[in-house]
Amino acid sequence: MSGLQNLLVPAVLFFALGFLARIIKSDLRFPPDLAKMLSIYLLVAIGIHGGYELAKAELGTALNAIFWAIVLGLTLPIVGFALMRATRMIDALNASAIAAHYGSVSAGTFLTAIAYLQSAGVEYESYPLIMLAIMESPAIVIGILLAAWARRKTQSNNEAAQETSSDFGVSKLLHEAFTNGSVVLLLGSMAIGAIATPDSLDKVKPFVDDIFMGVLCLFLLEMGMEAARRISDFRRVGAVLIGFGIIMPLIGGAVGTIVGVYALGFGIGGTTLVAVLAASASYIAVPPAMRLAVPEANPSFYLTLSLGVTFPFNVVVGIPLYHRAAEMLING
Amino acid sequence: MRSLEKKKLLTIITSNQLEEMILKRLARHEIGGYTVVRAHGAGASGIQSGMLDIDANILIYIIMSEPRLERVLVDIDRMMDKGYRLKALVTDIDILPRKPS
Repeated sequence: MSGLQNLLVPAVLFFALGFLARIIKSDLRFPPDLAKMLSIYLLVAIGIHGGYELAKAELGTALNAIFWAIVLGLTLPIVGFALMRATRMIDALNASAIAAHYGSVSAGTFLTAIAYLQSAGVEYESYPLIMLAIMESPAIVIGILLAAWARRKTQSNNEAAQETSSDFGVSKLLHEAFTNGSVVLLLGSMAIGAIATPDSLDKVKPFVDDIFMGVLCLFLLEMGMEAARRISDFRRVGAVLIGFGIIMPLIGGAVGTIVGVYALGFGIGGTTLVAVLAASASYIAVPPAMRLAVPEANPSFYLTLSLGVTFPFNVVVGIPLYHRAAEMLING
Repeated sequence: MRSLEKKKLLTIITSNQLEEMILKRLARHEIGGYTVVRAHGAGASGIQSGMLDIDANILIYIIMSEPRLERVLVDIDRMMDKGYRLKALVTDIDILPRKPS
């Protein structure tokens, strides 16, 4: 199947439907918190599934995956920050908040990539699941450090900078970032999948396997509507940042592909997933952290980029592209 | 019958992410009574659709005396100076007190 045919899967098509529904001003609307409920289910399902596979995995490879997840999470925000600052059109505080989003991950994009790989009949390693959980939070640390550095550069009074830091409590913020609900749910479900007996897991299989794709469709339907809602904010964000929202995932995807092939030795499927992790931008853990830690940054910038630009780009263009890149690097 | 008392109603419109921070600030002024209502809208921070946790707003209603309000507003003002995005509206109200005077 070509890359384009692999996009004709219900999950991606429901994303497009949600997008279209908003464009034509349909009154289709999800009940509040339904997206959150669907997200909880998806994380539990993928966690249990992944945990079961990881129980049979090699510790060395798992630790290597964790190492590279941390490296990606810490370095990609710096790349993004430097890129935005190089344009001389994005101030340092907004750049630090946005950069933190691109060092973290989008579980929705990752799950869409899994749907894509499954439709293409491509097998994938389970290690990227651990990387998904690990990469959720380190970028927040970098975002906070970049913002603190930016404030010191612009503020002559160190006391004011420190007062800002103590206002939101860095240790509390970091505690919340690393005990974020999504991380706890994913790691916890993986642990359960790894520990539970195969017979007992068989009983939950209809719940975590059989209806997974259907729930993903509903989730992406809402995400499509959410992405379309952000279009009205494009003018506020500006062309430079819109361009960043497309270029940065390509950079992240390229880096992720190289890491997947040469550093981790994954196959095409696993490499594609690593590329997707590196190319995606957070919309769960990082936005609330940045709203507290970098209040000077405009939330409409990072939310519009994450949800309105990068997420749709990755779903429609990025995933097939990273898959193709993985194929080319591995098959030659 | 109870007599109406004159009080101030402070309404704060902000992102739900700032709820805990604001309530902690209110607690420092010994304010333990408040009402939080979920909301959605749009403004300089972009669209707050209310569909995801990251883009939902809240309204916090607090009733207090004028002297206490002035101290609270100093705190709110400091938060806004640091860049936190919120709106603070003050309304004069007449309220039936819980206990008759």
